Amino acid sequence: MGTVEQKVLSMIVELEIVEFMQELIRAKSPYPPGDTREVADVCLRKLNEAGIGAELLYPGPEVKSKFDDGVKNNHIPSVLGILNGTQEKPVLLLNAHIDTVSVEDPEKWKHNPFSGAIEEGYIYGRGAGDDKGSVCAQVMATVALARAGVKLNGTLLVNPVADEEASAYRGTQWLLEAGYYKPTPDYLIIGEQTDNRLSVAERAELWVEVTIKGQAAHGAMPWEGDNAIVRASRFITLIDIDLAPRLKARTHPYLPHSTVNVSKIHAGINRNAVPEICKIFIDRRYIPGENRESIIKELEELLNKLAEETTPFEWEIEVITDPGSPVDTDPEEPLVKTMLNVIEEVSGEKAEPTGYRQGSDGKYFPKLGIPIVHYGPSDPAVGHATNERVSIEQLVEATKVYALSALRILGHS
Amino acid sequence: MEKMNKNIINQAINEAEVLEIVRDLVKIPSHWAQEKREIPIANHLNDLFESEGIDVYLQEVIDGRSNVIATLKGTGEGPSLMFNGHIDTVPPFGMEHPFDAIVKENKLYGRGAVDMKSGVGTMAYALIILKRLGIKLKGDVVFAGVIDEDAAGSAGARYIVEHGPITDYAIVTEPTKFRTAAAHKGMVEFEIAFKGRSVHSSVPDKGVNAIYAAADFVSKVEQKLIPKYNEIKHPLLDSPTINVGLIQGCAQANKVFLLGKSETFAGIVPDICNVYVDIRNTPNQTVEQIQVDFEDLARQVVSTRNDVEVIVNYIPRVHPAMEIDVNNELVVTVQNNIKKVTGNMPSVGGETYWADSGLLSGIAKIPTLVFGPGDIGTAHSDHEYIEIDQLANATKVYVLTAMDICGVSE
Repeated sequence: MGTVEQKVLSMIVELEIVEFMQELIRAKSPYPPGDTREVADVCLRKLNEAGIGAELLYPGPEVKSKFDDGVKNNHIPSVLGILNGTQEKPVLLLNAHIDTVSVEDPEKWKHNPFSGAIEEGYIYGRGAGDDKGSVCAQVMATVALARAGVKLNGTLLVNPVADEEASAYRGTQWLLEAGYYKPTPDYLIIGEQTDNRLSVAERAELWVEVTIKGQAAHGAMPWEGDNAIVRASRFITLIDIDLAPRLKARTHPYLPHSTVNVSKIHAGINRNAVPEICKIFIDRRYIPGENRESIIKELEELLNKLAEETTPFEWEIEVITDPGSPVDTDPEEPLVKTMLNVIEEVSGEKAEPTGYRQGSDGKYFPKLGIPIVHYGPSDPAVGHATNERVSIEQLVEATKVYALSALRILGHS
Repeated sequence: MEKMNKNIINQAINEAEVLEIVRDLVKIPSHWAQEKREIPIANHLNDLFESEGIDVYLQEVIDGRSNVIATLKGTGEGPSLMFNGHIDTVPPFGMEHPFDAIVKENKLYGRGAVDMKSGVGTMAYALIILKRLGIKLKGDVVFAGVIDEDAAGSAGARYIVEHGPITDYAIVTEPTKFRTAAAHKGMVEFEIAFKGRSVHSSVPDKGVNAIYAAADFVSKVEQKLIPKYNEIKHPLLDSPTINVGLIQGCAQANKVFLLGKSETFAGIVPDICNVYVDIRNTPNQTVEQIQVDFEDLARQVVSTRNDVEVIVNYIPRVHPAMEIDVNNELVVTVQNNIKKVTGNMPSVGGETYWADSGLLSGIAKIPTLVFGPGDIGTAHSDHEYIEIDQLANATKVYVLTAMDICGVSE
């Protein structure tokens, strides 16, 4: 470890990290209502105090979420900080989300979920793991680099971002589409709960609605009609016994296999009429190698098969949600190898690549064609749960890993 | 005597008058989409009977909505007969001029023209004719105009079954194309509720998808139970039928979305799926038998799946089948009178629809048949009509049948 790296590490102080983490938890930001003004201010202040250029970014009125959730665009700012180096390129983007899920059952918590209480080396609170731990470590790593006066040979972007829990229409998706990530990133570290392990892959999801059409008739004369529920039932049974087992065999070294879930069915207006239309939601989680087109084609094949086995019928497939693509980063990428080395040095333990099993904002970036990894403190099992927490040891370790990784990936003078 | 009666009756029945009675009824909206429901039409009928000096009263059923009960009291020496018809209709839906009672050629158009203000008007007119002619009957003749049949509750007929008047015979005057219907099917409804286990959509194998179990069940209804029911035959009604009319499934947490109260739908394996079935049973099937059939099928589904629970819930809206022996005096009498009036005697049949006759027959145990003017085919449609020449004929059949069944006192 060189002297520059030593200097950066010396700027990383546990007490300050803990206090900043508590501040982040106290700045409530549950979605709904997803108000990130306070937590964004906390991040902005910390960056500005270290002399880092940063600003609050508010989605304009033209930015629309798919969710009609009443959240005002001027209530959900994101933060973008920039640490300029001796040259513009390459660019490393650190992204972690500042919104959290809500607290359904505060009385079941050991501590007030917005107090940042400390017990036996853990900080408790909503967002401790998902995802304010990562926000804290990414911001504190950037602060340490700035305070050490490091001259990076590239640009470091740090992005505490809003709206992840509501599919990022007013967060990462918007920032990416509107061109706020300038200069264009060459490397991306998504801060998400990985228990400080390095993830190189993430599944993506696609939701479609399949509408199956039959023929209406009076319930007393069912033979006059063509019952859409009966047709849909046969289709669902094909999904259950034919498609689901095939998806189970569709595996990836770092990810759970592909899956399908028929998550909703709805048909009929009156019990005493033959239903004409049956609508079902299909929720597909898919691995690298699959995509929107291949998934729709697979469903069409099942529908055609059903028509061949029975009689022709009409159907439609409509995409309901298509938020991005799978992350599939080559473990041989320098970003991966560098970070694995850093993790081993900082933790003193062997590091191997793994996969991120939940969903993250990482899925919006594969179209940039850059290496993407996930890394962050806290066990993913505590995310969204009662008594969510992050270990102080992991928080400090993650801060060090982000800082050293930035130094080595971008290089420094 | 009989010959004389027939002539007197023929002279007394005025085609123009019965048409006006029916037209007046069509002009008074009595569907569920308007606030006053059946109140105006019940008052109108009440006034009509009073103006003819016939005993009549409004029998309040619910929220000020009343059945109209008119009675021609007999001497008490003969059996009593009820003419029963519903005074509500379905809403106009897309019908033009639903309440103008437009007459064109031989047809009267309007909401309720066939279903069933013609039946109600002609049976009312039958009492008026009997009264005007001063024919003294041995048994009572009762007119019962009931509420809430098309609104699917049948609250009016249910009230009569419970509180009377109960008669020895009954004729429900729903449209039968002028033939005697001696049977119709019943209606039995079940909710089959499947319960699985919710987990996050990303790990569906760890949960139990209730929709898959329900889909399996629906396929078994189609492939096993419907063919089995097709083997059950009734001479007038053919086979019982099954319709899977509704299905709703999602995770408990997503129910707000399904109800349209939330825009947000979460990726969760559904733990709930409810299937609703509507069985049109023949009179020889019992509700208990049918429930066992569905329970057996549901059990087959859950026995091959882990951790799925199912309950078959009977929906307690009793809609019994109707059946009357084709040799019953009421059937024979109506058949003979159809012959006398039209010159033809069509064979006794069954009806495809359910009507309040099921309650009179199945619960009050009144020997009941359905006979009325018009074709149910245009009911509830945008071109509902009745053929006018059927009105006087139907009245004649009702008058003659009342005399034959109740008996005429010398």
